[in-house]
Amino acid sequence: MDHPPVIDIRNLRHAYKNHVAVADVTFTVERGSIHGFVGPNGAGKTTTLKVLATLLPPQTGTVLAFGKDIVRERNDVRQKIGYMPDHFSMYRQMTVFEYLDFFGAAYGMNQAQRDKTIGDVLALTDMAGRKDDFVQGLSRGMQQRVSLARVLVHDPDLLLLDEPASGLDPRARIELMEILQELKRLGKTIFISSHILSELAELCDSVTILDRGSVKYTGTMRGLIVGEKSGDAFALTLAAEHPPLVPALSALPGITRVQQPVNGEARYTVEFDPAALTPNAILQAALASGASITAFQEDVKHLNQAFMDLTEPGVRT
Amino acid sequence: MLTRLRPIFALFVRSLREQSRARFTPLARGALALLLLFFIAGNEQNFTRYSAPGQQVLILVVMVNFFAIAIFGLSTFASAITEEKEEDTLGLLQMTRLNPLAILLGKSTARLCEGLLLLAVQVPFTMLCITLGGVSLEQVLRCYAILAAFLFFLCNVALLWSVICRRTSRATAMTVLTGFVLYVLPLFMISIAMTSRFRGGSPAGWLESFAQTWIGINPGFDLVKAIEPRGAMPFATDSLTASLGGGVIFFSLAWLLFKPCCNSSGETVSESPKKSPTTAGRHTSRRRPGKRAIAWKDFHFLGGGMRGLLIRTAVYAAMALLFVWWLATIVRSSMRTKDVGVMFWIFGDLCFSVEFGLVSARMFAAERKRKTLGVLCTLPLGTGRIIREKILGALPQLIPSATLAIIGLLMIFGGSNGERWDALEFTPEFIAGLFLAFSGYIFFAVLVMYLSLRMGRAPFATGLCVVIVIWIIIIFTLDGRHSHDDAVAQMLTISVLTWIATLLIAARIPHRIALAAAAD
Repeated sequence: MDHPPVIDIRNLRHAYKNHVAVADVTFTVERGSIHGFVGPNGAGKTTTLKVLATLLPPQTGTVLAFGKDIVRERNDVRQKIGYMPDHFSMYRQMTVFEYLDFFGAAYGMNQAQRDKTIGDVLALTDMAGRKDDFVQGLSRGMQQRVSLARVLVHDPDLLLLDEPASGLDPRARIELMEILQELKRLGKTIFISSHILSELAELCDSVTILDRGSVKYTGTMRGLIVGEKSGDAFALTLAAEHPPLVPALSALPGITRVQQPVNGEARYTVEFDPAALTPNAILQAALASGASITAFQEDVKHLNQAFMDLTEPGVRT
Repeated sequence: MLTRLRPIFALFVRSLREQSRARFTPLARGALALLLLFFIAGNEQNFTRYSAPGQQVLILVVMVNFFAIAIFGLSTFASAITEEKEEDTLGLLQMTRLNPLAILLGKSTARLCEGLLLLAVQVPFTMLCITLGGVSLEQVLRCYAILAAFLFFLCNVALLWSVICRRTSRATAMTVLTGFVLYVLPLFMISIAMTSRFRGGSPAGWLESFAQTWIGINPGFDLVKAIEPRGAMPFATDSLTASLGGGVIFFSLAWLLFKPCCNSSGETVSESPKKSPTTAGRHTSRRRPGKRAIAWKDFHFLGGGMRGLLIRTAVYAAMALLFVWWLATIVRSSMRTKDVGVMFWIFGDLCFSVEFGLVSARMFAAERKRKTLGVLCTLPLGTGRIIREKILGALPQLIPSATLAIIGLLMIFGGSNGERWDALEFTPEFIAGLFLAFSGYIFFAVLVMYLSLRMGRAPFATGLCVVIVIWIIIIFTLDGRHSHDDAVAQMLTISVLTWIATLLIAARIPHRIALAAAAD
């Protein structure tokens, strides 16, 4: 049986007085995926996340989570989501255990359930050894882990994480990403807003790019970095320009386009039909033409480049 | 020269700019001006009743100002430095070219100017008292000078505690305690001295003169003397001089103690060096949360839990014993249970009212400050249940003061030589009055709760001022010459209106919670 998308946002619009934060936003997130949500500052990411977290009602449009309307069936949706805001919102006089115990009880779990789940989430976030520590005495990275543990304590199916890696050192960031991968393996759907594009590229299955309140791209991560091409594309980098290469490659069956080097860089882009031709055959033809090849790789954009191409420069006014 | 002074006034100018942009400042000024106009208009009917109506208006205006300064002063000035400590921004300020003097001036003087401007805006209206008759220009100006000096003094007392303490609540409490020691304790001391004299005894000379001096510098008494002078009175009264001198001393102390108390290691309020992380947690005596988790959280972490409850009970018990001792010193053998009961009732009721307001103010203000309201609102409970549980968690904090007030009532009506319970007549007036008082309490709590979701600062003080103003208007509007039946009808009408207002405000609270949660 097909499941509905975990998140289904259609024509969402939200304005603060005269400032339109999000305008006509539409995208979906599939079950069990890690979905990146990126955009420049002021693009409307946090507003969208707050709508999803049921903190802001959508002014127009519909927002469904697990097929349920987030306004009409708010409490059902809240039971299934875990929201981590972009700032620390913690009761700092509590110990780590008390903090998680409080949220577990608030979600209606009995003591036995809480004991088991808290043990599990503390082990997952590697905080079991600090459970009796006061929250206020923890480092930023540890507080972030406790926040994540809090989000997981009632075993939600969907995690809404707003900039979870901001302010963390490289090790803490990498460890956080590993925890998120583990959570994906456990079947959770993760909706993550972040500015750290390189990490998102490795982590996410799909991505939505938001700029000035509008969706610029939504789809698979591969679709974003490979781009809208008729077939596959490979880049061939030579030690120096080699004019006989273009006719040699163009003669191959299945080649759709060979792009000449620009700006003096000896980098040729070869587009082809993967059903008719293999990359191996292209490489052999290039070597046969006498070219001195230094690199041969799939022609993909970095997420940074895709982000820059899709978003507008400057600050939103 | 100007360049050297610029850093000193940088923070002051910034604070003034912020205040000029804030909506609260012009609203407060407008409300005060409207209130004064109302008093003057209301007093017009009393021309025939008083020989000096201007004097009556001036007393009223000055007393409203005196209590407004006391209430607002506490909630506004005590946070001058502590708010920077709580937000971990004091270190950043110290890293700039701002020296301690510049920080103290910048953080306190703008607030002081705001208060002084609130006083200044009234002066033209209050001049009308001269036209109404009974007071001179000098008296009006003297009253405002005393009030301004009191404001200056309070500002600097609160500033000193704000420098010393790490949290606003503690700074406020210490300022209240200082005010109590300076202005209230001497009253008890002089009563003991006077009683001893009436009995033909000889009270300790130092006690009498000490108490007399301290009463002389009490601005409240000085204001009454300034309005109703008996003989010639200098413009610079004792309280004016003492307030200004005391203010300078307290400011100097704040300046002296700024560096030792506000160094970077002592600044961060979030760190708690007193508690060893490994000895806490599940080993604490706190019970684990049950079905009402939010009530559990608020009881333990907002109200101080069982320890807080015990401390409060001990403090109230100590105060009660102090009252009994004081009363025993004055009246000795003729002390009746009823008298003790009255003392307990008044003190308990007063403390209950203050705690009631503070608890209502802190209920959501604490969540807003920690930015935890958003996370709390994503719980699958609904806003109504969150509010109910928060009230449930806060109520135990009121038990000690309520118990003291109830004990007082029992002693009044159940004492061996006082009136008996059966002597109490449950007349319609008594019941209507009781209902009105209850309505007023609920209105106050709901108003303060609502204001704490709207305002960043001083919701309790604002709520208290609003309630006091409403009561003054009601007292002014009601004509005391009506029959008993009319009085009951009037009280019931006001109660019904109070409940309507309460329900209207209460209906807005869930919306304000949602807005505050979304703004986190």
